[in-house]
Amino acid sequence: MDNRILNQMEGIISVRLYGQSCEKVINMASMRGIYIWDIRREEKYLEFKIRKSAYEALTNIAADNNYQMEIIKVQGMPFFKKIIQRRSGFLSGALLFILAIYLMSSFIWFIEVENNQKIDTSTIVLTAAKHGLYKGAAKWSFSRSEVEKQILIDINQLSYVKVDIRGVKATIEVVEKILPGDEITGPCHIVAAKDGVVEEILLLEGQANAKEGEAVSKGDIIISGIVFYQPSTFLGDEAKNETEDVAPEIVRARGIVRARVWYEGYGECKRTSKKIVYTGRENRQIVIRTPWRDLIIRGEGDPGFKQFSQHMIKREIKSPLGSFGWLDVKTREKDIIVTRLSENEAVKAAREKAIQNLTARMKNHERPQDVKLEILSSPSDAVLRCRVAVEVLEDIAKAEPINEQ
Amino acid sequence: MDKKREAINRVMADFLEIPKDLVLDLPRLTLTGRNELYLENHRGIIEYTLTRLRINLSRGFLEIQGHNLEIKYLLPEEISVYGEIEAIKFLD
Repeated sequence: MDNRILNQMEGIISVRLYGQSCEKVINMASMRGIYIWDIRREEKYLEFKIRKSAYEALTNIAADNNYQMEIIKVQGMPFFKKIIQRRSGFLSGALLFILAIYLMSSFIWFIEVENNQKIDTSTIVLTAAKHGLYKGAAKWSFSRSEVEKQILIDINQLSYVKVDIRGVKATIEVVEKILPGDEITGPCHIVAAKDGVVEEILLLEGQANAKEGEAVSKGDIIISGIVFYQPSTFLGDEAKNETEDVAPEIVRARGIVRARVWYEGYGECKRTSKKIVYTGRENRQIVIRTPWRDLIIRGEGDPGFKQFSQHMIKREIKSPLGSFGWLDVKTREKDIIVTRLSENEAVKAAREKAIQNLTARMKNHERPQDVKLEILSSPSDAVLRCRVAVEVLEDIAKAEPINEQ
Repeated sequence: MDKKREAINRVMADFLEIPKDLVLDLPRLTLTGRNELYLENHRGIIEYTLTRLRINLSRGFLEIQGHNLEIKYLLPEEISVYGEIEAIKFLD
């Protein structure tokens, strides 16, 4: 029964009751269910506390029995009105603050896309924005499941989308579809993917257009998908005439075309190289600094190094007179060593670079068949430049659909 | 008549092992140290001063003597007294 928080919520009134044998009033009040506490006897009166709601009933009892009553103090929530009125600015500020936090937290401030590999993050973000999920969107302005559904519809490379909203951050988790490779099923030609000399043709279906040893350039049809009827040489002339107007057959050409292909790479190497070394000579200088003069405690003022590097430790205290402190300066002598590469060394280095350069462009890193080196620079140049041409055997077959018109 | 009835109740309570304060409307006192007294089943306050507190019971009354006596709370059936308690007396 003695619940302080509840009492505070309801409001507490401290009352003084004047008159002879106040116990009577208290008993009557208690019998009527009025909760009375902290009863204290003073000389002329009885002091106690009641809840605000019981006050009226108590005044009635007191009046009926001719007792005088006086309120001394009021406490609790209902009596805070005055304080609330006095500090209305503060309270409204607090309220505004809570409101602002609530309002700010009901918008999306960050969008993150997870697990996308092939599809651009910006594509997903843009699609989500189209359906209401964008930076600054109010949480109530879009439906999560609707956005998920719409993204799935719009980007058909996705198989699953989950929009997770935590506080002000929206995380779009996606799973990409693994699409089957774009296999050509219809009729097609086999064309050269790059320039080269045909070394070997393995014909599976179609009609060969190029012979072995023939040079082809990129885009040339090597195996045609349009097969013309070839009459047998054993048939007589009559039969030949009959079959002349047989329409050509269109097939999906298949085959492997191995060809010699060239790759070119460029490399260069400087003939001279500079290297910085420390000679081992060094000078350590310790200086005490005063506003009037610098005192060298150890080391020489100028060690006389032509080239050097310095490392300085400085401790200073600034005062109105100037700065006090000490300096520890370490000076190390440097020397530059110039090395000149011989022609062979430079060529080797440049060639290495050129090969690196071209292998980066090679598709399957085939083993080079034939390496040709060409030096571009003259022997007097400071930089040696070279070009390396490599010949490799490569399958250059590329299927290309036949446009039927 | 009342005394007879009380005697029967007492015997019944004894026989059935029911707490007597429930059956016989007897007061139950809990004294914590000498400063706090908790009393159940009272019938109102007869007299209250700082040194003496008389509480009505179903039979007779209880007199508490002490200093600075204060009633911490009062409920229709319960009362809690705080102060320096010196004596507790049962009176008829």
